Amino acid sequence: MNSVSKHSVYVKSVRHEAESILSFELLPGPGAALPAFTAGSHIDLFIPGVPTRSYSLLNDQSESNRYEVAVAKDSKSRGGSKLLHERLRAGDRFEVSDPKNLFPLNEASELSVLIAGGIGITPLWSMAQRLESLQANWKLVYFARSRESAALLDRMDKAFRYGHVELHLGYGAAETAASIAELFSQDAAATHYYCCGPSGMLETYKNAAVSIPNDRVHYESFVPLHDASTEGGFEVVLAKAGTVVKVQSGQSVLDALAEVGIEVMNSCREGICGACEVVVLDGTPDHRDSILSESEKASNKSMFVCCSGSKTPRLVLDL
Amino acid sequence: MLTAEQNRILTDVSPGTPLHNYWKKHWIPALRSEALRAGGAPQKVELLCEKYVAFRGHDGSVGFLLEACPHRGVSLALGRNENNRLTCIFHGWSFDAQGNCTRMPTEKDQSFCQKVKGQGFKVREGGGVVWVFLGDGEPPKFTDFAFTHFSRDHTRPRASYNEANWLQNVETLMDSAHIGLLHHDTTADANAPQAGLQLVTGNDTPKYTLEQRPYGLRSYSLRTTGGDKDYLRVTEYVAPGTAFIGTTDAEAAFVIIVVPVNNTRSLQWYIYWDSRQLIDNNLPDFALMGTDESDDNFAASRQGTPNYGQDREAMEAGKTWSGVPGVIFEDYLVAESIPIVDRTREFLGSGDLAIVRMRRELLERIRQSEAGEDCVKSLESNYRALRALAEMVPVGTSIQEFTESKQQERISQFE
Repeated sequence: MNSVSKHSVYVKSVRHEAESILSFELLPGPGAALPAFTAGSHIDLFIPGVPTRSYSLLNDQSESNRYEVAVAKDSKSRGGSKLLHERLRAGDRFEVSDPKNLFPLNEASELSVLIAGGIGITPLWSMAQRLESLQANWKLVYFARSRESAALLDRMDKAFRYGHVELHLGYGAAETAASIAELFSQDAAATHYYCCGPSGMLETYKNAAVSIPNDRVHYESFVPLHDASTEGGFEVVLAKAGTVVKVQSGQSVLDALAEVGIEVMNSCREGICGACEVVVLDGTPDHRDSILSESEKASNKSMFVCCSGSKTPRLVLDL
Repeated sequence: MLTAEQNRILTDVSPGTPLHNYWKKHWIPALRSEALRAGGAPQKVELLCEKYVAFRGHDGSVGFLLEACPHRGVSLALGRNENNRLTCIFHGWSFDAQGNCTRMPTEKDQSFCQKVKGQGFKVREGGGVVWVFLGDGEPPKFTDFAFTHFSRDHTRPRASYNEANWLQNVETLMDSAHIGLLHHDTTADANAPQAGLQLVTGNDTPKYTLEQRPYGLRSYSLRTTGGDKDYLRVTEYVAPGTAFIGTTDAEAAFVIIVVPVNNTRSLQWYIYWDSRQLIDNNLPDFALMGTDESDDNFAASRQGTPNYGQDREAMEAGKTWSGVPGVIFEDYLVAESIPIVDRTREFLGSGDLAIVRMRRELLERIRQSEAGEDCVKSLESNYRALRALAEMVPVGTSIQEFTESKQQERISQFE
């Protein structure tokens, strides 16, 4: 079982950053303290009734006991961003995880080129602030649909000493690709590149960076294709054991089973290694793994319990 | 991934264990046919924690018996091989190739021999290998892989031992992801004519698809190359310890078979074959690289050398990834670094999909074995048709259809 560190926070303020983008300023709950973080980090938000999701910290890492995240309301949202926009208000209390950094900054590089698309601006903005305070050269290239949909513009409207922002509004795919290619064409040996944005843009970025050594090319995939399902709120019937297990919000099926002493083989807990496959006898799984083909998912013959949930109130498993 | 109990089930081959009993339900390659000369010295063979002896009578037939004489335990490997019998030098008890005792000089009443029956095990020869069935009752249909049908000139079985538990050796065979990394020296060498393996270079994240088969699993690993063709490798896994490894049309084919000797030692077979020409004219480069001449234990002179002589200087100088010569010793080096892998402490990822699937398959087959169900499924298995592939396929091709038709093509062209 995972034991996750959680910190109590409350919403100090909610700000309108752009069309469909709200930022939330989080301060520690009474008696709590928030761990320090480094630019590029993200935190998980644990809000009852809302699926657990991760958001990048956009504020300057030098600020202690203050976290700022921005959430874009995704029209295809499976619940997370939509609920945050509709329900989260100033004063609300909830918990967050320790900051985790899978997108760290190389602080020794001579030039950092930060390439942001849409809501991908958030970790990169934290990086830009860090670089500025380190007096290290940086350039932020920000692609957005329009001025109205671009977040944090008011914060960027300053004269920075060590870097600058280039705003590219309303570029189509081809123009974006050309623009990114241009950035790489001016590559110098000690430049590091960072990209965060929609998956199409990340593909373009990776293709354009193909001749640059891997250790200078960084990116973070922002919309996880396969977010684990932890909405909970359904029950799992174990056909062989003859028992019923309720899966709570914040738990995976694997967690819920482990809690009642039922061990299922597992390893990666991400839906990529295949160890936790279980045969499904009834019910419709909500597949979040990266293994099954579309037709295998549609057949619903088996599921991966570390990450997949349920579309029906009940799943019957061959356990 | 596994509990301690599951890891034990898959690794402990001591007598009486489920794994031991499961292995004994299969035909096992024990030694090379050429290791037994008619009327020549018997050969000791240790398999599944038990000791056996093999001999070939003057009539050519092979006997495979427990090494200990049933009388009072003296090794029959010391025995006299004459008259198609193996005769213990201690008291002259003689055994035929089926292990029946046919003479007891120390007894007046020779009918006493009748009591000492069937100490031998069923034997079949094919592809230059002596296969044995060590279980009770009738053996399953023989594993008549393609090469068991060719004459001696077309197959080259080579055997060696390594000091590692059998399962991690088999896992290496199912692991496509390591090819461009552990075997970087080979795959990155554009001059080596191992055309299949070179295509792996730079692409260490294959997409696996696994299909259950009566004999085990078929594992597809697909690598995109950025062009209009993908690189497909197909491995045919025959439970418990056999894997046909992908090759291109031009290359000889080969299969690797791992047999547990005991819990920390494995007998590893590399069997190469080519029906179109003398196999010795088309052995893969890696087959002999760094090995001894002996086909009965080609790793003998390296055994005991720490880390197979890993050359750290050359690694620092950037001349080699692994520091040892050739894919075989690279595999042995990593396998032996942990005598028995502890699968309760692992962090598996997408590259381990085939291995995960194989473990599940084995656990299920062992369960079937314990429950008295058919765990070998030999009647439904077409062993002769198994071919492993390394091919470029047009992007978007159905890998299943491609594999079926390519295998048929090879079967009809090459037999």
